[in-house]
Amino acid sequence: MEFEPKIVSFLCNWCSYTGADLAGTSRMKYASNIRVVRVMCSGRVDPTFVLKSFREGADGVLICGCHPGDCHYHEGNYKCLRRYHFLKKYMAQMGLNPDRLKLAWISASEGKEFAQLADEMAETIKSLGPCKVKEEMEIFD
Amino acid sequence: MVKQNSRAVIFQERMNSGLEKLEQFAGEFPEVKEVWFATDFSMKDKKSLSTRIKENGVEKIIVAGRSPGELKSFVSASLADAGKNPEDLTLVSVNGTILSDGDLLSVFKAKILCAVKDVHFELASDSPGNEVNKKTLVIGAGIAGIQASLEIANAGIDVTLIEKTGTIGGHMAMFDKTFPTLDCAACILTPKMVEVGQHQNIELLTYSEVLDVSGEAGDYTVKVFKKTRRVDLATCIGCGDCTEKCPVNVPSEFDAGTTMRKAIYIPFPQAVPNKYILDGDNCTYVQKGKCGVCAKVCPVECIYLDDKDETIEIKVGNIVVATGFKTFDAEKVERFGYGKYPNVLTSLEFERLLNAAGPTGGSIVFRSKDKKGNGIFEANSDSPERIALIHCVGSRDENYNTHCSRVCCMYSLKMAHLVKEKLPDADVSEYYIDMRSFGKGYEEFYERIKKEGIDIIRGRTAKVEEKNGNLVLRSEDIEGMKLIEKEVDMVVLSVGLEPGEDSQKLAKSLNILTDDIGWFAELNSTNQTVNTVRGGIFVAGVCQGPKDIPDSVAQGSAAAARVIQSVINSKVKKGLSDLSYNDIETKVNELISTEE
Repeated sequence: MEFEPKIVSFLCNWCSYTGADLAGTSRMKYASNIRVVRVMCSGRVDPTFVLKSFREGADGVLICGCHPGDCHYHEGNYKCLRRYHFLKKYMAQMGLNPDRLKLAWISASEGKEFAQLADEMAETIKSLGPCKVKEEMEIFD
Repeated sequence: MVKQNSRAVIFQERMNSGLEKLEQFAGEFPEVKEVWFATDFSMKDKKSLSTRIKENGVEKIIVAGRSPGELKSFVSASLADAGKNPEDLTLVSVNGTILSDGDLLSVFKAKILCAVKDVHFELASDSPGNEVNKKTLVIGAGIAGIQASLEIANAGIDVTLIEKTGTIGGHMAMFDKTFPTLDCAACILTPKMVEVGQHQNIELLTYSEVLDVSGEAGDYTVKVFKKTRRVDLATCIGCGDCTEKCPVNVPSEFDAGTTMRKAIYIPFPQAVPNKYILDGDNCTYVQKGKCGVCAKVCPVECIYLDDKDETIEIKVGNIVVATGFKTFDAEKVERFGYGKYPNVLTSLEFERLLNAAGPTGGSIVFRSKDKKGNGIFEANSDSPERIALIHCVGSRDENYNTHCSRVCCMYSLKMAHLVKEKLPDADVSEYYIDMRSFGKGYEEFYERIKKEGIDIIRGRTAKVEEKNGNLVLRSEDIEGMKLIEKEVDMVVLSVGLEPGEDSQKLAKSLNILTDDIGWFAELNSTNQTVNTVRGGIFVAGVCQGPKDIPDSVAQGSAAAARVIQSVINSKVKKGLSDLSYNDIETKVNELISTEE
């Protein structure tokens, strides 16, 4: 059986969630590996959310927010960007491939872009193979 | 008691449009000695008036007209020159077009009466107010109507929101970005639309129109014409099987005609309510009795092809009118060749072309033709390299509209920026008369655009024509003192805003006033900006006059504040046109006798 990754995606309520919604209502097809969690702002995405996702068995994590300058809370997406770079480094140190995490900007009218992004992300994670964090952590349980 | 024969009334000019009676009326008071017209005096020579004041022994002057303030300094100086108190003058504003007999004439009469008798009009016209029905009606679900509805509903008041088309959202839903922040318009609007759709205090009536309004402030009965969608909102699951099979193709209103839609359709993917509509005017079954394939393929049998329109009545206390605008028909300006040359676009079409959810997914391409000869845009076509934007098409032009549409300069700058973002090597030029970047952050935006390598040329464009398969644009360049003849690939016409098609009809049924252009008239442009001559009827958004999104939102909130105010007080003030002359006369006499 082909490997079907689980990708947890955190979408901001204002732009990206509406963008993903547009992809759906416009009947676009995209990889069903994406599991959407709606957050009010990409700035709400605590780094522990991402780590917890991997810990619970996610193979990839996708964070989407408003384009720079569009944030409804003015600078939430910039805060997210800062944490993202930190997380990437941290993941590498912990032995997790940083490519499993991706941050992208999706506006509410970019349904098509979201569908493409989802497909690309699913492809990347498929090529990386399953993430073993959950199994390896079970030793400690 | 005012001395007899001690006053003069000066009219700014001869009265017209039903107000002629005022001239005679003013002269009939025993207190009034003379009725003059400002046109008989020379504004530069105060002696012309002061001699007349002395000759006739006038003590006080009443100035009446469309904008009496213009005469204030002249009259005041003349009074002083004649040795009278320069402050003994009263201004009476008499403006507005009469829609039906007598409604405002009596108000103007009452204003003159008060001025002559030295009583404040506000005192004499102050009525206790009517009981108010808490339910509110909002007409038009564009951004102003949505904002007003949400504000009122969030205060716990029931709102009925009526929208003419099949979805709420209005023009803003069609836009790609808002200026000057370049926020994505959908990111701001769609969450609000969803909120309206789900709000427990908002009843949404889409595909409906107001036919008639009767009653008085606080208790209006509104007849609503509910066009049938022919699709049951409750059972439709939005699967889209009907649209796939529908054989009819018509230009999509939402995409400003840049794509085609079917006769059974959803206006756009994020529509609220997100259910199908069968457009009876274009459906072969409804028109000719043949087809009906949509009803056959519908898996939940929610299409009722023979459904009929209905008229319902609702009772409300306050009404907010937010019906918006229509864009200027660019075909009227023949010299720009819109409709003749496929790559001359209106700004609304170009807006859709720029939109990531538009016909081409956001890439700027040449217009091509489909099998039936309709002009459409296809994502894989070539991109233009030279784009010109022409400002003030149908605005600030005596042949079409003399008013400034307020948004065109800014949206043209925004479009120029977006073109540069998508096609960095494109040659973008703008032709403007005056750059009106008046709002907060707008001038800064203009300065920023100037640095992006866009050719911003001051001068009116004379003509767009086709030569050897290329569009040639002829314009003047005032600052460069020369005439320009330039080859371009695509021309975008920045069309202005006009009152909506039905606005006159609606004004008649609401019995409110419109100005000369057709915008709904506010009571007072400085402190009663959303009130109309009728109590409990408020205006918001572009239907009151051209404005941009921030201003429309602000006005929507302002109208909501008036509604909430009346509901909290359980009283709604009567409007000017609800007052009767006799009541005011009695009140004036009462006030005079208590004074003595």
